[in-house]
Amino acid sequence: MAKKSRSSGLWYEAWLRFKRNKLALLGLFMAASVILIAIFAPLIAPYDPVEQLIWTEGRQVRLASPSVKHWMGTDIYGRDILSRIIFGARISLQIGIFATIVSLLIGVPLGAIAGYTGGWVDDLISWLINVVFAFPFLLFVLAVIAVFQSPSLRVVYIAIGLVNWVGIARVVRAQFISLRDREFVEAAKALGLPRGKIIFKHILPNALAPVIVQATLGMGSIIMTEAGLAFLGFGAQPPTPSWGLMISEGQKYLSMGKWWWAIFPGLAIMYTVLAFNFLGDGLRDALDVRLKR
Amino acid sequence: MTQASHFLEVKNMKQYFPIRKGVFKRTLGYVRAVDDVSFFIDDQETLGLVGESGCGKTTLGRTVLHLLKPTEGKAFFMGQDVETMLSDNPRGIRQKMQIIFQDPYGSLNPRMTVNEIVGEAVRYYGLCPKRELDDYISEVLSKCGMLPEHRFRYPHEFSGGQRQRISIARALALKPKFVVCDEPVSALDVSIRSQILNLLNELKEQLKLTYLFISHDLAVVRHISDRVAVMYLGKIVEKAPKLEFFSNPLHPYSHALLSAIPVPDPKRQRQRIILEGDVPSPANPPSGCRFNPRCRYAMERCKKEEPPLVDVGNGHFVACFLHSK
Repeated sequence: MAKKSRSSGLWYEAWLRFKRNKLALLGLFMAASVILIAIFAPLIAPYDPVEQLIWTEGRQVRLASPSVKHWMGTDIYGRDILSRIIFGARISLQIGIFATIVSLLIGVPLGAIAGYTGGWVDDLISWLINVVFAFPFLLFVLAVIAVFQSPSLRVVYIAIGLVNWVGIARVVRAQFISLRDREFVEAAKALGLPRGKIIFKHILPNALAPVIVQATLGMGSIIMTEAGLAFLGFGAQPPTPSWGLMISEGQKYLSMGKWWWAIFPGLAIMYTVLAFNFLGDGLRDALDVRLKR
Repeated sequence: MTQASHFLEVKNMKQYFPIRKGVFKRTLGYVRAVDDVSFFIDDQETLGLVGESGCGKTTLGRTVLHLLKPTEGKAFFMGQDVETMLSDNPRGIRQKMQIIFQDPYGSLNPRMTVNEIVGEAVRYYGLCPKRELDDYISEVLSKCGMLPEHRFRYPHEFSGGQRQRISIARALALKPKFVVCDEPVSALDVSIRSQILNLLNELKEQLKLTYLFISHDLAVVRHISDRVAVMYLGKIVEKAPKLEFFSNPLHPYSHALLSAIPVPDPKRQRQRIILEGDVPSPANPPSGCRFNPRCRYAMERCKKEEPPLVDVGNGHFVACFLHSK
């Protein structure tokens, strides 16, 4: 709308701060690489992730060690592990993104209502948040999946989202509580602006920065959770190339010296989780919640 | 009722904040931030409201505008009850009564440009045609001493004084009649203060405004007000026309406040009245006259009875037994 001649919004200034932070840039680069790999998986992957190559290449591709042909080796079914890891990025990111969206869809409105209204509404929502918080994370997710009965990717991200929203809601609630009494909000009330405008134009944009940080840091833990669930058999089902599932299948062969089946997906998880943690930390430093009082 | 005779009249206004504790949020008592305050302001007059921190002057300002719902009492704006006007036609009354805040760093939304800050409500009220909005905003800004090209910047790019000008522009863009100035210069450097005060005075002349000017600084109030009201612990203890107040202050608390004004002459020796002790808690105000624990002239009677605000002539009112029988 308005031409931004020589103006610098707070978002732009945050970017300038972010740019100076090497670890944050590394996180951004790592996360971007995972995302690009996921998007272009069919173009990058040398093989079909579920194709059992024993039919074309013979029995020697069962559990073959890393070689020029198969950089990360193959598994017992003769599937190329590199290709499975490349496609696995899709699963992890998909879960990470959708579970985060579910968390935001629940957490932001509930946190906003609790923080803005206060009173018994706040008490009720805070009570709910604390109840969900009190449960061990993974156990609660397992319970939710049990309710849906059949584990599928959609069930997994809905289940994770249904538990993960509490962190978001807490952050949003705290932000709304501190912002609703700020003078610029009071000024908006004095101007006679309607409540919707006050909430969406005056409070929410100022509450966003910590929510973004929380959501980004949450991505890492969601991806870990998904891997954990798959490892336990409650997440992605075979032959889906999920990293957690691959570790679960491959760990039996670790003791036989066939390390590549479990180690490479483990490294992939580590890389992705680190990426989002670096990125989240960088965003936190850059967005720094001090609103320049 | 006779309230039609004054531009703004506040009657027996009270603002009590409940103190709640424990799981069941039992109300243990009330902070009586504003306790039975009445005053009026005439058209194009400035009433200076003074008092130390925590005496309830800011709360009073907000309660008059009904940003805080009064516990009791009413405010009449041009003869009409503000509360009923708010429920009948909130836009109309909000547009006519505006407020300028103390802290220029907290009162502007950091994520909005000056253009949005000043223009948002103008657009919402449809005060000027869309095509002319930009010109109108520029005009208001330049009236407040800002340049039109400042419109596309964000608040954090400005100094405190400039921000206060933006804050003033935001309030005046709605063409209000009455403005509560809540310590508009207290957060500013002394060098900027007079600029902003002069700006407020000029705008008042130009736009025929009426101010309720809240401050803890008597020197500032002396500069800008027509009449002065002194508040102590939620009550008005003295009110008088400016000249009368500064030449003939009656309440012992006013004496103490006036003696605290610095005089720019190091050789002149003055007797300073140092108030002892702290302001008592408004949750548990002293019985009788609220000033009695700190008053030099406190008598036995002051601890038992509360002195009423009485007329001592020349439009001068004081709540003290020294001046009423």
